[in-house]
Amino acid sequence: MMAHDLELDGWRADWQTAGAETLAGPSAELRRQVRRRTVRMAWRLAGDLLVGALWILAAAALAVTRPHPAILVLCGGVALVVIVATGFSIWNSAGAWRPRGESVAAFVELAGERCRRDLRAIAFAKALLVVQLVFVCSWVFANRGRPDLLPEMRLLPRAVLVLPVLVPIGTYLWIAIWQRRTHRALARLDDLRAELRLEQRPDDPA
Amino acid sequence: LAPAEANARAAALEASLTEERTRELEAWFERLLAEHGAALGRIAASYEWDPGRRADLVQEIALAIWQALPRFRHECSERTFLFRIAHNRSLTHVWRRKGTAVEPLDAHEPRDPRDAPDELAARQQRRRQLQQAIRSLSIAHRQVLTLMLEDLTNREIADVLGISEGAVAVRATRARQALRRALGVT
Repeated sequence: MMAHDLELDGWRADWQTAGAETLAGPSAELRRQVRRRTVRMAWRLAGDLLVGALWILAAAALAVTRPHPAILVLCGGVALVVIVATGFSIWNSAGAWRPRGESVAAFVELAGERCRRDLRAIAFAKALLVVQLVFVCSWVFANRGRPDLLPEMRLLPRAVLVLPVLVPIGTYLWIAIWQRRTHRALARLDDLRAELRLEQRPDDPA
Repeated sequence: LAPAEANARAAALEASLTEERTRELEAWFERLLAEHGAALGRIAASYEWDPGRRADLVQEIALAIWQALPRFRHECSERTFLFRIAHNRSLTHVWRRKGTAVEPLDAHEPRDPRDAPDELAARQQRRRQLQQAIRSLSIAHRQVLTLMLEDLTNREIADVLGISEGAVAVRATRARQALRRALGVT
């Protein structure tokens, strides 16, 4: 037993004399970093909200200025998609902002929970993309031969016509990349968890 | 594990702080780094061998401490609080980097002028071997060992890791065996 303590003391002596990285510098610099990150985060959030709000405003403006049933259906669909997507986003992130406890174990658990919620968001995004495509295609098909509904479309260059094809493909690719990254992150987290539990046998407490 | 929400919360909290409170926090932060900076750096070194990435990790740890400081309510010791953050950030680092390879540690440690060259070389050699051996262990072993080597009690280690004291004792025994094997000690 004594030999073990001497051994540990020896390791401690070697360990504690090891040089350390210089930690961070003055706190003012850290505060600047926090501010920079926060500003970026705020801009991203504001951007998301602004895009959603613009879509709803545009849909509302179109519905008011051109109260044709087909236009009202289109505007209603756009507004519904934006509202449902925003609602899902809020619901999906609720409760995953901070760990249940303060320990490393709680922190890892939160990381897993965030990954699972990301996967849920991915499944939702895929479903929403399909719903949007079906809705837009159905609307276009139902109103074919009615250029008077959206005469502004004629003013747009012909190249714009590829957008309805490119945007869904781009969105799908983005979702696929997001899904792959999340699956990889989750797999790495599972490895990490397994490594953390390596020494926990059934007879171990906690 | 690097939530942008945390930054937003930290900023909101910071915005609500008075100038006086901010100065208090800054002084507190500086003191914590002066007292525990070396230990936090060693913990980072046990997770990351590459000097450049290790510097980034240390910076991340310091940033996380600064963000968490206003929420610290002294429900545990300062050491426990700091080491918990250091391990959490380091785990995030390992998670993102898919683990770290075991490589020799670069020796940019301060030289003690009182040491004879042979003694210094021998100590540096032992230190390098110890650090390499610790980095070669599983994370569960590494966590317990690094905290033991920083003089934390089993109770404090249990608080940091979120496991029971009994589990800490079991892990500590196995971690020491694993370290002996890694060092080639029979």
